[in-house]
Amino acid sequence: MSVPIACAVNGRDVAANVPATARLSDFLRDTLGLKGTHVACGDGVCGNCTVIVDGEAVRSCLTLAAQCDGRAIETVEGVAEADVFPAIRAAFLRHNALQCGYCTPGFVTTIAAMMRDNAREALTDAEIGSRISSVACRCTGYVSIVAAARALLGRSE
Amino acid sequence: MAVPAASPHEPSYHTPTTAREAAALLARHGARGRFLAGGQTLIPELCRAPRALDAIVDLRNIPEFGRIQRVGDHIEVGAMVTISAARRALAADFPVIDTCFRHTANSAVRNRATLGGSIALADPASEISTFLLAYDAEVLLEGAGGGRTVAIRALLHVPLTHGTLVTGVRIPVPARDRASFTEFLRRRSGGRSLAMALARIAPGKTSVTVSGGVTQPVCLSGTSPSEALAALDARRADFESDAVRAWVVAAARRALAEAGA
Repeated sequence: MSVPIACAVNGRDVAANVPATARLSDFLRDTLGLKGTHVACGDGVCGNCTVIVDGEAVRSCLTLAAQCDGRAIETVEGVAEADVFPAIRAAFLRHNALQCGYCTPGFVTTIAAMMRDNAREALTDAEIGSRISSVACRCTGYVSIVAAARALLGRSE
Repeated sequence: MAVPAASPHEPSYHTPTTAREAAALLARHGARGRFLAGGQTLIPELCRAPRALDAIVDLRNIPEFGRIQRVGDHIEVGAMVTISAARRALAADFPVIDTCFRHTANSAVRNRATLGGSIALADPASEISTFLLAYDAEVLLEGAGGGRTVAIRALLHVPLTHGTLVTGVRIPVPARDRASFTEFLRRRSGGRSLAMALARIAPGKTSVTVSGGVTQPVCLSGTSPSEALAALDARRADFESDAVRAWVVAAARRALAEAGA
């Protein structure tokens, strides 16, 4: 069955008819051509597919496109055009927070959401650690990513 | 624009606006219909078994399922409230919830997973179930015979019949207690829980709610931490192995020590 959805993606209105079981990750990549959202495990474990929906980081492979009617979705492409991005890019480069870059969009969206939440009310160290832990990286060993994230949140390493 | 190809077995998709309508839709499709709450469990299943469903009943448009409100001396939380939202909203009355729910899955999943979905899933290694049991929660249900209220303890051991809908939970607001939560997790992020314990210490009453292995959470109490631990020891046969027993006792001891500190 085709489900009509009307949502905003990176600030632009999108209207579409989607199959009931179509995942948001596939809709973003294949229907909208937004390839920045990477699918690795496809099973909700790795977090590489993380996007921001209504301000919250979510796994796009664990979200149906049909559930997104009326929602505001921000992918890594959207974050790249947002106020937070220059600092994110600079921190990732300075701290060497990527190698192959496959997981990087998942971290960028996660960290962008954290920065915006932190600006409203400071996140605890435990919460920062918890949110950073939601995305898997096979290359870096995480230390550089955590350093970049903590620097972006104004914390010492 | 290219639309993802629909398979011939695409289920129908429904967004009812009342619990009664949702229950009726599910009843019409029987075993080939499923409620969709946060989707953190159902969506991977959909992809593993694409032909298994005729109907998805999405609960997100039922207004009262999003409620978080004080009703007398209870807090009522609707079934579609996410783990993240519940964790924030209940932190003032239940300080231990911040630590307890932080161990559930990961932060992104917590932004979508719901209280109702978690209760319906009844995973033994559930921080949600442990918390709700520790605080004497009641679960509000809607089924073929209408609405009813069940203590969480009953639901943990007898799974919900297919088609019964969790509409919310009611939790009595506790008097001041000192509470602490401990969990031992397998090493990797999102790793399976080995054991967990939520300890509550109040004048004249101590309780420790534990789960481990495949055993559903159980609440042991006494007038003191040592009595609660003795009650736990008397239940050692509930746990499937010496290793699980050891983890559970260790979690209980640590939670009680931290609550009492």
